[in-house]
Amino acid sequence: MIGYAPGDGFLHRRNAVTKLSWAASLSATVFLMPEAWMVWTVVALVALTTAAGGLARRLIRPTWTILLPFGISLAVLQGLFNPDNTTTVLSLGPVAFGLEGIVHGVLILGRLATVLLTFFLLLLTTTPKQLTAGLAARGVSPRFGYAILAAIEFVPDMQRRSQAVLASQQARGLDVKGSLGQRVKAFASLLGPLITGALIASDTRAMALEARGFSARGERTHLALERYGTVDRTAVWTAGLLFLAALGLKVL
Amino acid sequence: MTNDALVRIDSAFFAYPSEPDQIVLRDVSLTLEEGSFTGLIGPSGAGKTTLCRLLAGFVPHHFDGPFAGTAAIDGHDLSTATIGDLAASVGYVFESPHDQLTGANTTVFDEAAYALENLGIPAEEIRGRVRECLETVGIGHLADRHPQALSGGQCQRLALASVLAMRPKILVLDEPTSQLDPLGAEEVVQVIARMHDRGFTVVLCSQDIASYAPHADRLLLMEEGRITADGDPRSVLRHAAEREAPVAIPEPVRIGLELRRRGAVADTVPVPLSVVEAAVELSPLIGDLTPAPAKEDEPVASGAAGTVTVRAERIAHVYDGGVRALDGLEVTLDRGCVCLLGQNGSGKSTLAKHLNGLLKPTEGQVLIDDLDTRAHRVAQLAQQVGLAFQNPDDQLFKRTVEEEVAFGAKNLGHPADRVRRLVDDALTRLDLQQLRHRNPSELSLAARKRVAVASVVAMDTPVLVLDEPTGAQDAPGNALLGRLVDELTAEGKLVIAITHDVEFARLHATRIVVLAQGTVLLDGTPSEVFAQPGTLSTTFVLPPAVARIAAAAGIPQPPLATEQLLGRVLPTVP
Amino acid sequence: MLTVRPTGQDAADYNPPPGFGVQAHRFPALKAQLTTRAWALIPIGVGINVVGGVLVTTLRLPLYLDTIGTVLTGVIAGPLVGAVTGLLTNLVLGVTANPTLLPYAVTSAFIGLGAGCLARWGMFRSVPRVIVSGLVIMLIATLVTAPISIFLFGGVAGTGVDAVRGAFAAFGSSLVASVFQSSFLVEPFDKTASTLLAFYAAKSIPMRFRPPFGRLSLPR
Repeated sequence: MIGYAPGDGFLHRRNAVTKLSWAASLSATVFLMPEAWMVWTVVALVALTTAAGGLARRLIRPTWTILLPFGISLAVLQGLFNPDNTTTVLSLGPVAFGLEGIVHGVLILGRLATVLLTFFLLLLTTTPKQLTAGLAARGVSPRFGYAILAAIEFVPDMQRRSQAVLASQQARGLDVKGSLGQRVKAFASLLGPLITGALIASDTRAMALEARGFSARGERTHLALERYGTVDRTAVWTAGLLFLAALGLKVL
Repeated sequence: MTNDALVRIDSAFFAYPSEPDQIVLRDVSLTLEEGSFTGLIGPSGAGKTTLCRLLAGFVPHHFDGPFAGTAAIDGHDLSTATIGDLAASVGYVFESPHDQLTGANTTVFDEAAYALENLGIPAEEIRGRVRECLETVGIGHLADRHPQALSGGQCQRLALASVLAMRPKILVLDEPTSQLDPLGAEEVVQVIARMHDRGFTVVLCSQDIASYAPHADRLLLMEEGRITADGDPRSVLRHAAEREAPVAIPEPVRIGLELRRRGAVADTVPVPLSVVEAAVELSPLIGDLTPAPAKEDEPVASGAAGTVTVRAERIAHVYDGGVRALDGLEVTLDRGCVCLLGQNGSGKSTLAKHLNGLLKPTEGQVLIDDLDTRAHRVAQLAQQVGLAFQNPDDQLFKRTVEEEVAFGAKNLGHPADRVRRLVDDALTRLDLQQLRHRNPSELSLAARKRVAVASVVAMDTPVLVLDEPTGAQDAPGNALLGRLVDELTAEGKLVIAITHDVEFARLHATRIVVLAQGTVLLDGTPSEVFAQPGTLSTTFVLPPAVARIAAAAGIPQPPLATEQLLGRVLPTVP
Repeated sequence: MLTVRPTGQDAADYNPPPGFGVQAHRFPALKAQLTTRAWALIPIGVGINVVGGVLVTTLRLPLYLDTIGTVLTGVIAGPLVGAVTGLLTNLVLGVTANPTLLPYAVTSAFIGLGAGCLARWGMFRSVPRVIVSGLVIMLIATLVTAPISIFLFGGVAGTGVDAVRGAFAAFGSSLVASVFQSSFLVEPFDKTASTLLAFYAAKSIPMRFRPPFGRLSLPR
C-alpha cells in the first residue's frame, strides 16, 4: 500500500536508522502522554514535517483509510461504553454518547495517527535495503535483515504463484464458486501446491545462500549503507532522550 | 599428473537422511584435472545431481545423510570444510532458474553482489567485479532490472555471474538448461563453453547431451549411483548406444554408428558428435541421389477423426499491462496430435489458456464444438478440454499419487467406478502403478510431471492440451509420453502439445503449427514445416538434428525418420 | 580412452562399509534450530500467512486463516523459527500495509513459539492432539492480543470484529470483557482450522525437504 518513493528531500537524505529511531521514539512517547492535546500537538508537528518535506499528498489517502474505521469504532465503543462516561454530549434515542469516552477516543486516535504518519514517512523515504543495511551496521543480525527483505519480496511473488495454481486447478475442473464446503476444499487445493512448491524452492535457496557466504563470520560490506554522520548521531540521541524524558514525567 | 588433480573422490557412498536405506552414491571414485570439461549423463535417479552436490559440499553438509569415503576438492577435505569454505573453489548453478536467487535483492546488480557483501570485500572492488562478471555472461545491460523480471536463460546467467564473482576454479552446473527455451539454453551453453576456454574446470549434468557433448572432453555415464562408463564423449556415447543404456543418444552419433554397422565408414573411425561432422560423413555417400518418391515419408497415423473440433476465430488477447499476446490468430484443430512451436512470448501458452476458457479472447471467439468459451465457466469447459500445465508443482497437493490422479476425474462428476477405471488406466499408461500409494511431492520432477499428465488423462476429455509434456524427462520418459500421445490420437482424441522439443514433434506430431508474435507463422505436416529452416529461425525454432544433417549433407527433400534417411542414402546395404 | 564398469546384476556386490546408514534421532537444541535452511524457510512462512489471508478473501470464507505459515514453520523447524516467522509477518505487514499491526507482532511470535513447543512435546502427532493444539494456540493468541488491543487501541481493532465487541458491550459487558468475549467467539474456529491446515501441509512435505526438527515432530 505504501512503499519507497524516490526523491532527494531532507528526509530522503537522512540515514535510515535515524528515521527509524525517530519513528519509534515518537510512537512510544505518545503512548506515555496522558492528554489528547499533547498527542495532537505531536501529530501536528509530524504533519508539518511531512508538508515541509513535500510528502503530504502521498500520505493523506493511506493514513485516512486506516484511521477512519478506527475513528468510527472508537466513537461507538468508547462513546457508548466507556465506564467513565458521566457527561452526555449527544443523545440519539436510547443511546447517549459520553464526553469522557469521546475524549479518550480522540486521545487514542491521535496516538494511532502518530504511529501511522511517522512510519509512513520512514517507508516513503527509505528503501528496505537501506533500512536493513543500516540496522546490520548497528549490530542487528544480517540474517534477520535477509529474512525481512526476502519476506517483502516473496509476498507478491507468492500471490503471483497462487494465480498460476488457481489456473492449474480450474483446468482440472475445480469450481471456486460453489457452496461453502466446496470453497473450503478449494482453499486446501490452492494452498497445498503453493506451500509444497515454496518449501521445495526454499531448500534450493538455502543451499544457494549457504554457498554465497550467508553464514560467513566477520565483517560484511553493505553497498546500500548510508553515511551515519554527526547530525545522525545527534538526532538518534535526541530521539532517545525525548522518550526517556516522557518516561520520566510519566513515572514521576 | 594425478597428484595435482583438482578434485579427488575416493569410494564415496551416500544416502539421503530421509531414506537412509536407499543408497544414491555407490562406490564413486573420480579425479578431475584442472581445466577439464566433464559431462554427466544417465537416466533420472542415477545419482548425477547427488554427485554434483558432493562437489560443492551440499552432500554431506546440507543433506546430512550417511556418508562414507573421502573427497578432496581443491585442497579442502570434504569432511571438515563447510559449504562456505568450498564456495571459494566451487561455483554451483542449480536447475531451477529463479529458486536459486536469494529473493532479497531488487536489482540484478545487487543479486550478483550479495556473496561479496557477505564476504566483506571492499565496496569499490565489489562494484568492479560485479560489473565485469555481468558483462562476461552477457547481461551487463540488465544490471538495474528486477531479478524476477528476467527470463529463465537470463536468470541462469545471473546465477552464473553471482558465483563467478567469487572467483571459483570449478563450475558445477546441474541441469542448467532443462527449464529453458532453446534460445535461452543455447545462450547458457555458449557461456559455459566460453568459461571452459578461459580455463575454468567445468562439470555439467544435463539431459540435453547433443547440445554440449561437442564442447566436453570427458563424459561420465552414471547408473544406479555408480559411474559405469568414463572416457571421451565419442567413446562413451558409442558404448552407451551399443549397450542400449537409458540415455538420449544424439542423432549424429546414431547415424554415425549406423554407417559403421553397414560398413559405409570404417569401424575404427571415431563417431561424429556434431551435425556438421555427421553431414561430412554422409555427403560423400549420396552420389547421384534422385529426388524422393512423392509422399513416402508422410506420417503413418494422421489420427482418427476427432469427436470435438476446437476453433479459434481471429482471436486477439491483450493482457492487463497492454501486452498483445495474440493478434488475429485463426486456427481450427480437429484431429491427431498438433504440436504448437515457437519461441517464448510467441503466444503459445496464451493460446493454450484460451482453449479451456481460463483466458477469454479480447477480440474474436474460441469455440469448442458449439460452446463459446466466453459464455461458460472453466469448470464446465473442463468436461471437454483437459489442460496439463508445464509446472506440475502448481497442481499437486493430494497425499497419494492415486488420489492426485483422481482429482480431475472426480471434479467432472464421473461415477465412482468409472473414476476408478480411468485412474487405473492413466496410472498404467504413465508407468505410475508402482508409485500409486506414494506422496507425489516425494517423487522426482520427471515422475511428478507424469503424475500431472496422468491426472488430466484420467479426466477422459475428448481434447487434451499438454504444456511441455517432455520437459525434464529422461530418454525412457520421453519414449513413454510419445507412446501415450500416439495411443490417445489413435483413440480419436485431439491432443494439442505445446513444446520446444522438436524431436518429440518430429516423431509424434501429425500437424505442426508454428506461432510468432501472436499469430500463425507456419502450419503443416512435420516434413513440410521442418523443410523451412529460414522461416523457422525467425521464431527461434531449430529443425530436428536429422533434418539439419540431411540439409547440410545436401540431400534433397529428406525424410524425417533416421531409418528412412539412411535407407535412401544406402539403399543397397541391408 | 574408455573405462567401463559392470552394471545391473554384475554390480550387486558394491556395498557400503559396515555401520553405514546409522543415524541419531534427536530433536535439535533450540540454538541449533536457526540454520540457513530455517532462515530460508522464514520468508516462505510469512508469504503463506499473507497469501492465506488473501485466498480467504478470494473464496469468501468467513475466517482469517492468516497464521498458517507461522504454525507451519513452528511445527517443522522449531519454536524459535516459528516465533521469528510470526514476528516478521507483522513487521512486514506493518511496513507494507498497516503500521497498526506492528504491536501484534508479539501475538504472532507467541503463536509460533507455542506451535513449536507443542510440536516438540508431540502434540502434532495425531489429529485429536492437533485440535487440542489449535485450542491452546487460540488461548495464547487471545491472552496476548486482548491486553494490546485494550491498552494501545482502546479495545478497538479497526475491523469487523468491532461490531461483535459493540454487541457484547450493548448487552452489558464491560469493554474489557467484550474484547475477550469476541475473541472466544471468533478465534476457536479460526485457530483450529489454521492449525489443522498447517498440520496437513506439514505432513505432505516430503521427508527430504523437512528440517531435522520436522522429521521427528510429525507422524511418519
